[in-house]
Amino acid sequence: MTDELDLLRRHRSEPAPPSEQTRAAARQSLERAMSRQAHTQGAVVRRRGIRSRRRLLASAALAVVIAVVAIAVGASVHSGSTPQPALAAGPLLQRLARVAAAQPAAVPGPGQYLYTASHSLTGSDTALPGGVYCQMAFEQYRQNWIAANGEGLFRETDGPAHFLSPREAKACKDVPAQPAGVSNTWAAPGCLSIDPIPLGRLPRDPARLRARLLTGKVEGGPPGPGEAFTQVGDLLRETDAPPALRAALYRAAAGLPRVKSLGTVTDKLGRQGVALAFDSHGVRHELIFSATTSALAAEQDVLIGRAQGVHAPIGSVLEWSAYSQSQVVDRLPAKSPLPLTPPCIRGGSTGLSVPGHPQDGVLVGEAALLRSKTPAR
Amino acid sequence: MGRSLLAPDGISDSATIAGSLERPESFAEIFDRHYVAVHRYLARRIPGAQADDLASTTFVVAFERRRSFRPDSTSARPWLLGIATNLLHERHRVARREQGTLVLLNAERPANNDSASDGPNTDRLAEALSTLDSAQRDVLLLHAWEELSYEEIAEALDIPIGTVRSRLARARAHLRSRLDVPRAHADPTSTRSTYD
Repeated sequence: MTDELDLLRRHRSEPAPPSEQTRAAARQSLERAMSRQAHTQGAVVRRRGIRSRRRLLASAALAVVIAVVAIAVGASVHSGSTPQPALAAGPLLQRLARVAAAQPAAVPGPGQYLYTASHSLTGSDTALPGGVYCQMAFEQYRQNWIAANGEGLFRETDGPAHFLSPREAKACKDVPAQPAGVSNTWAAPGCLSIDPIPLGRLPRDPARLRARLLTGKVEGGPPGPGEAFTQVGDLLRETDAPPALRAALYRAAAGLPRVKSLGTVTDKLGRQGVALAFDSHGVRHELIFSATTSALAAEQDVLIGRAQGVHAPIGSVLEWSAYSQSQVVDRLPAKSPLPLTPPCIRGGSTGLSVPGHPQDGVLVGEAALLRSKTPAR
Repeated sequence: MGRSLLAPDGISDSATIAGSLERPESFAEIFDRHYVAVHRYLARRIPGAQADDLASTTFVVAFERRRSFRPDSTSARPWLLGIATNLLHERHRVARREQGTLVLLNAERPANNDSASDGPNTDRLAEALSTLDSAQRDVLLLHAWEELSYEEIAEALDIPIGTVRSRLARARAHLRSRLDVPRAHADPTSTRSTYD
């Protein structure tokens, strides 16, 4: 017998899913709210995007560790990138795969750390009273030391803010200034991870790897080539991915729709590399690789058309990162001033300030809150 | 209903929201996990452009109110749907259009139907829903369309579970009377509750 609930269920509409543009606009609204609150708390909020997305595990973490950006902004801060004619990406990716397979592995052993260094320009979008948004961008020099057990150190040096125009500089005058100078954040075991996900379970077969990337089963996220391209970048960026996996990633990317080669380009540090690109919603996401080592050398987002919330000339570089070093080292440059205990367990970490050094802190397991007399940050 | 209590990265909604109190940007994970479901719920009740708008607002409001999320709740979905429901009513209150467009029905004849082919048409069902008390309608649609359990509806709307049962029973009785649908056997919600 059909009852009234059955009838109602049978008349349930199945609306079309939201467009990617609608979803992006909604996420942008949320990011603005998050950025506003982070500024209130004295931090800068970073966008999930050009940099590592899940490097820092789980919950409460130090604001200085995660600093970064809200929305694509910054634009005219660095303009002048000339759109390149697109080439087929397949031959370039196959070449990178051969180079990658011949590289030595760089995996830290017990007591060792993977050391990486990078420069970046990241945009920040802050909501001000009256519905006005202040757009600016920050330069940053960042060094990471991360051990296989998740212990490590972040060292960040913030540069000056850049503004889109004198008008933006005026609009931003009430935004709290970011603390200048160097900040250090030590992390207890388990609080960090070298890779965004455990790499051991990823297939080395390019076709299987591509299928998993396209279905969103590697890092999550919406299925499709755009997210797959992003995840290729995530898995190559400052990770210890072994040569066989790196080669598989390049070969998997060779079969992704809409990925194209831009040929030889120059990054923001003046280095030449070969670039791949994926265009989405008016922004070209570029990954730049060393032709001699196949390493991810830089990446940047370039405005190529109309993009929601971005008011900048076509060709402007909205954000960029350049990776200058990656090697295994035996020690940290400085010892933590506070004990790095307890370790983080899955989903639980908290930040503690270093007395007398407000820009420095440690990241430890949440259990520290129960015993610590040091104020949580 | 077979939904996983953990996100693909193994961190529960509860832990993610707790973490966002100190690391606000981690709340974006909640958006990534539930945006499509929230949007779908709203798009079943209001036209597309309005659904886009309210789905976006739902997450901003949820972020601002995340301290109110019960830490013993494993999934944030009921909580988010509750916020979306409140925003729906707020919007209609402001627009002074309390009745009328609160439900969008599938006007096509349902596939694989048996006795439904002899059942009421879409217009009669829409009329029956539009004359339903709005609080009862919320409970009914969260149960029938979003497949929330009684406990999840109670959490979403911040009402006692007994109130959920009684509102659902009354909503079903209202539909039956309007649609001339005979009462099904062993209907667990048909007993009038004393909680409401």
